[in-house]
Amino acid sequence: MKKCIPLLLLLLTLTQNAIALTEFPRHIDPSTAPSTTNILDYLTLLHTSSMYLAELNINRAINMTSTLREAAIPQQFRDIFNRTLQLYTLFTVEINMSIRYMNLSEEALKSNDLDKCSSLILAAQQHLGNAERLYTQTRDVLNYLVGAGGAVEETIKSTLNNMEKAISFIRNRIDAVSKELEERRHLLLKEVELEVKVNKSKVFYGDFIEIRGRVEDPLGAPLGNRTIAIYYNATIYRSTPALWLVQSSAQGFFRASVPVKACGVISIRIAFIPQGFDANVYRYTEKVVNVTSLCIEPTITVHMQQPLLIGANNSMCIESSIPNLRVNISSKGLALSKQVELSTHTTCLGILIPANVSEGMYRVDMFSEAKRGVPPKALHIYVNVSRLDANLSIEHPTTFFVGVPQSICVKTSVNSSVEIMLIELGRVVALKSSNSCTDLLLPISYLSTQLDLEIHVTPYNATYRSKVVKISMQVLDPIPIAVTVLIIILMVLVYGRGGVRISSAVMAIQRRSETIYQILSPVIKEFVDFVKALTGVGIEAHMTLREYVNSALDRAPQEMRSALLAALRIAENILYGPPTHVEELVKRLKEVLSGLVRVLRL
Amino acid sequence: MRIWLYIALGLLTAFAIASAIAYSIPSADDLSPYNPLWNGLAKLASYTNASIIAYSDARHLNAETSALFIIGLSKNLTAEDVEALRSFVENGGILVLADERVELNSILKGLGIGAAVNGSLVADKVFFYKTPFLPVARASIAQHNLSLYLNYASYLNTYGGGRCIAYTSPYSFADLDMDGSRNDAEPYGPFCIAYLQTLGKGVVYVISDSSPFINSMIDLGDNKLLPLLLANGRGVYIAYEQVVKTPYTAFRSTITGFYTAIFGTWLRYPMAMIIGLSIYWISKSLLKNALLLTKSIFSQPFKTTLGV
Repeated sequence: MKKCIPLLLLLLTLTQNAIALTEFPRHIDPSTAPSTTNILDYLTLLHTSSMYLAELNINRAINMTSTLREAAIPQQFRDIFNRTLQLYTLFTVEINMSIRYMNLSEEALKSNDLDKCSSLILAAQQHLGNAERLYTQTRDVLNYLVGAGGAVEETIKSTLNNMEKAISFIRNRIDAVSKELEERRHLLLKEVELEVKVNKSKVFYGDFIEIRGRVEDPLGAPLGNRTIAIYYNATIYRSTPALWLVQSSAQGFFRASVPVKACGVISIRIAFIPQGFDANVYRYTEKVVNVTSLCIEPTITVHMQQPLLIGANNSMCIESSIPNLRVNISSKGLALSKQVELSTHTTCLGILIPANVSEGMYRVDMFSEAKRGVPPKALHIYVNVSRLDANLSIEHPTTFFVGVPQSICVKTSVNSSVEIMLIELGRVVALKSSNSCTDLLLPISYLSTQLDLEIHVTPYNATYRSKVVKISMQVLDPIPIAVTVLIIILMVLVYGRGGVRISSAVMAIQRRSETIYQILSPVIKEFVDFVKALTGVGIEAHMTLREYVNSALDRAPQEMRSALLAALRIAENILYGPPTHVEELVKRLKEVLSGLVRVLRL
Repeated sequence: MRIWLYIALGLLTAFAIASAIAYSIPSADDLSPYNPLWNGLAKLASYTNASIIAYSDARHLNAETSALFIIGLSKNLTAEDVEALRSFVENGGILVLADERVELNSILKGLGIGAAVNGSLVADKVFFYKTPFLPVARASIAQHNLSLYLNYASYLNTYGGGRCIAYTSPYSFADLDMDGSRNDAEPYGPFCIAYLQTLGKGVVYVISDSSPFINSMIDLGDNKLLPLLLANGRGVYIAYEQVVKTPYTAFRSTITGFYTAIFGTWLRYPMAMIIGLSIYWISKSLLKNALLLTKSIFSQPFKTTLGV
């Protein structure tokens, strides 16, 4: 088992490293990150290399690039070179490829191989497109260095100019060859004869015009089963197509009935567009026919109350310059979809906003349908949809007592459902009506000193706004207050007596202490002085009173030794004994000492 | 007796110090708007005067006047939460999603955003702050050109529908092996760091790094300007929910819970009594010990005591 432990530790370490490699930290504290040298400091070195780049020569560029790639560039700014050179090398390759295809396409044109020339031009264009993309990337890369300013900026601009010149040069060559190719092809294409007639030159908006015609080749042979396109520029309403395609008959005839969906002078174009094999034989041909369309633009004006009330029938009046106009009214947000025919110039209608709609701004779209001579009209209006505020008054106590029922009254101006939420208790109390009171009782287990209520008032009439009122009240719990006060009183009574006892003992000690300092010290000092005078032995710092007296006793006269020991016992009783009878002992010690003094004098 | 006194005083002092720490440092959680340390968002909340809300509260915001920031997902959002975000944006809200983790992609997909967090680390050895893992990106927001200081950022793969508004430099690269150096398998930038897409009447901004907003980064470059420009003068809300409690958070909630229980409930009355009694007991004990000390002085060698 012990042998497995290092293996398990190794596995654990490897697993941790694997996890660390798969996910990087969200962030690190930048203040603790070590500073690395910023490569921007070395941009001046890039200036030297860009001088070579500025001398753009396609053939030398590759050699120069490889020279730069092999240059002994310090590691810290190798990234700049790598990225720039990578893009520049690819750019050079694409330019070279483009030039190569251009040379081949020019040769193909000379040998009149138009199809081959066309495909070679396409290839050249593709490589040039790649080169342009790489130029953009290189420009973006180099633009980051423009901020260095001075000679670096100048060199970069010059480099980019040279690259642009190379692109422009090839682009011009492609354009020239393409133009020549087009011209040569055009010369080979045949003209097409297109005859067109219309039945009317003046029409009303919405009318149809009939277009008839014939398509034939230059020799007069009919071009049957060919597609003829008819189109005109028009303001398109809804799904009206702008382009009609018709097939010519076997004799080359075609006929189309085209609706007029524009106003004013309309230029209708009838075109033969060669498709498939025809594209290599015939040219594109078109005829233009002008038709005048007579229109009266309708005006639509809307009058309505603002804001629109939710749950209520709101009045909307629509006025138009055109009578009997049919108008579609719709609004996604308001679930509104109506069609109304304006019987006279002004028509009013009721709009019911559903109760589940939220308050806010909504877009209402109106479209008038087209009639003969009257184009359709679109109108978008924004309406403010809102509810009304109901009057609300709440009566409640400022302080709540736990265990005591207290009344909360709510009055509203409209019939509503009223719910009182006791947040911390998670209880909801519903009022019977919107003008009534309820008694709230907080349980004894309610611990908090604050009561937060939310009163939700939801009017039955959706036209009125729901309201949430938050109330916060102080809560007093009489039971713990009373219990606490009782405990304090009890403790004062119990510990009060103990306190007296303690106090008397303390006073006794204090008194004794004072006595020792004020009364006893002189007495003891007197005793010590007497012993010193009697025996000539002085007291030393480390001695207790007994040690001192014992050390001096040998030098005292024999007859006085018992008296000295008696005095010592009294002194010790004074110092270390119980505090009672101290005065009496002092008195006795003084008597013994005066007796000893008398004996000594004798 | 004296040892118990010392233990009680020691515990009291420790509790006072712990309370002071809990009071002065509301949170140490990563990307918490309450955290004033280097990795928190307290400065962002202060600079933008932001309100902190739960993810599910997005449905209650007034979309046309609000900008909602979700910086570093602190939990996986439910389908209802994502739907609430969608509804918020479609009604005209501004939503800012900032995270370098691929976990963000489920939300982006749910919202129909044409961008996804790649999950690879972006490094830049040319344009950086202190280390290549703190690259500098350039952003163009509301006609302002900004330098954004990133910190261990990823980048966005874009699929259309919106437009990229911030790029790293062309010298940046995806550091797939996270060794701080580029090898041939690691693609060069520029990488898209921030993406904008309109959704209904609103706008969604996706940023592939949560770090420009943290306290230690927000004062660098134009990072401070970024949230203000994104919010476009609207009221800022930061969605944040703490799901996993760190040890410090657990410690702090214990301390605050203790104070709430003691001073926020009727327990304050018996507690006041206990504190009073404790003070009385400690004073008494101290006085008694002082007197015993006085008495013991007289048991010392005699001459020293009396000054004889």
